[in-house]
Amino acid sequence: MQLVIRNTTDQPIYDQLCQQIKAQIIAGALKPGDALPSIRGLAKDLKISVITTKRAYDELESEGFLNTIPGKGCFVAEKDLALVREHRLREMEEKLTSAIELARSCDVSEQELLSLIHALYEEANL
Amino acid sequence: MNAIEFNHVNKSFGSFAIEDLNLTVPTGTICGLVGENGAGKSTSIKLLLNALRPDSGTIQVLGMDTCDPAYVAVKNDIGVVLDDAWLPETITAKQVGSIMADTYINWDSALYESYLTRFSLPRDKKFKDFSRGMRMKLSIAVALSHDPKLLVLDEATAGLDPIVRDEVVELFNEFTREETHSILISSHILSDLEKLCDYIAFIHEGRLLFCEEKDRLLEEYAIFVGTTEQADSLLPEAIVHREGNGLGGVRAMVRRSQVPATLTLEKPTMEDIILNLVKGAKRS
Amino acid sequence: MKALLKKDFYVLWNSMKALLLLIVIFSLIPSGFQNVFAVLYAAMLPYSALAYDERSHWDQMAAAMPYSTRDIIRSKYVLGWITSAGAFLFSTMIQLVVRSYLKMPTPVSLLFVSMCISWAIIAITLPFMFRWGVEKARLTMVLIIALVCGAAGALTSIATMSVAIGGDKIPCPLIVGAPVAAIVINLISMPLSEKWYERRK
Repeated sequence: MQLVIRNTTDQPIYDQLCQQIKAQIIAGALKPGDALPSIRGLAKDLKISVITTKRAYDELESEGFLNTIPGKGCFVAEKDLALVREHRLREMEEKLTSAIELARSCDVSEQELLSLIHALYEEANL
Repeated sequence: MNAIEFNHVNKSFGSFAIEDLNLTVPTGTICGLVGENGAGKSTSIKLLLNALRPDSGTIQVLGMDTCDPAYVAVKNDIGVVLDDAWLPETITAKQVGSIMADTYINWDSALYESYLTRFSLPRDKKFKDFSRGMRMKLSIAVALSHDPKLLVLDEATAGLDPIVRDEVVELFNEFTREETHSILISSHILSDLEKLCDYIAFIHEGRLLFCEEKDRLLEEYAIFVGTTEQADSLLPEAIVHREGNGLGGVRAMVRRSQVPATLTLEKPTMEDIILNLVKGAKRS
Repeated sequence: MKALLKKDFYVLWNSMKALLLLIVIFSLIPSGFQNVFAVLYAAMLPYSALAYDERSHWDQMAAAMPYSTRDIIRSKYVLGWITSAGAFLFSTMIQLVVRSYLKMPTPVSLLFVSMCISWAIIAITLPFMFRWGVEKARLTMVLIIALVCGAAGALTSIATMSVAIGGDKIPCPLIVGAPVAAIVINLISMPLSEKWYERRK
């Protein structure tokens, strides 16, 4: 598992944790049944607050990504990843649709929009 | 369970008073005590060690009332570093070890030795010749060498150079890897507290203004930098404190939830938050 | 208690060495009364220890450690008893050795009474120290010095008289009465110190 916590961004720390762990579960880097580090251990390793770490785990659990087995620890839940992917694709379509609407409203051509997406994609890959 | 619990504690002497102090440090967490000099940090720490008795209210530490005669035994589980109190200075680090071996039930001589080595403290030198940083390190070595469950640290990182301070902060961080371990630390070096704490408790003129989760504070507040007109357009209750630069610019601390989401804000440091809250409290 | 005594012995070790040296030098002086001063001086050592404690705010640190108030108070009494008794025993030993060479009598009972007076001085003055601290209790310090000098003067005159009568003959009631009185005063003094010390909180 790879986690990078930034203190400089505006994104709250618990949210950074949540998003990064979720992304790794969806990408398959973390497989169902994999053990996650203990809340306290992770907090101390990352030098962040125990409470914040617990908040991130609680949120992941409520979204069904984690299972906590009392006395044993936290594990990646069996989750229908295809469903998650489907869900995300739909979300992406919605957002792209509103982007297209915005593009039309200010006379941005399809070609320009595509090159903008291309540029943003490149930027995100860096 | 809570490591420390102040319930409606009052204590006054002369012109100074602690008023209705309620403060809880849950087991397994690190709580930072912040406040100006004379705000009541040291008094609170003395109260919880029973070096002072409250006029009214109760204090529980590790589940025991501090006024209970059996509280003396609980002190075996408390490691303490005080700002300006220590053993008489005509003794050596080695003698300190020998005294502490007869003081604490759980004293670990080997561990103490390893801290002396780690902090490169001379064993046979009278510590009146020690620098402030070395004395602090000796105190910290003693505080950590008897397997405490609670550390009470009054300005424990003051006088340490940045590298040693970082090492010490890391030691405290490691200490709470055990979930039965808790820390109450007072410091005016706010960046240390920002690194270390789960909770920040803020005492002002003998009263606890708030005790909040650190990351919630950092999420709740933000720094706004802009023009006077922009600042004037914000809701008055959204602004904690604002300062103009005399040239039409304003820097203000605001509550994120009460300003428009489109406004560009900067992330505050713990120092920003505390300073602005103090100034805001003074103004009102 | 052991830890607290150990701490005071480490702190006072230099003063104690000075006292031992003083006893050896005094023992060489023919009249033999000077050791009375040495034994009475030993009663001042707890105040030395208290002054060191105060300078480093040790009382606050001690409050944070697993020592009971009773132990903190009693350790200073015990320290005083031990240093006075130590000074008495050491004086007697050295004098017996040195003065048997010089073929002079050793005023053992005089030294013994000095030790009892030392104990009494400790008991009379410590409660004031615990109530106000060494710094503020300067008046008490004057009282201690007056007691030490007065006692020394009184003892010397008693001794001079008894020497005039012949040898080491301190009146018998004094030898029995002095330790009893010292013990009684100490038993009254200790709870008083505890009460006054608690009041500072």
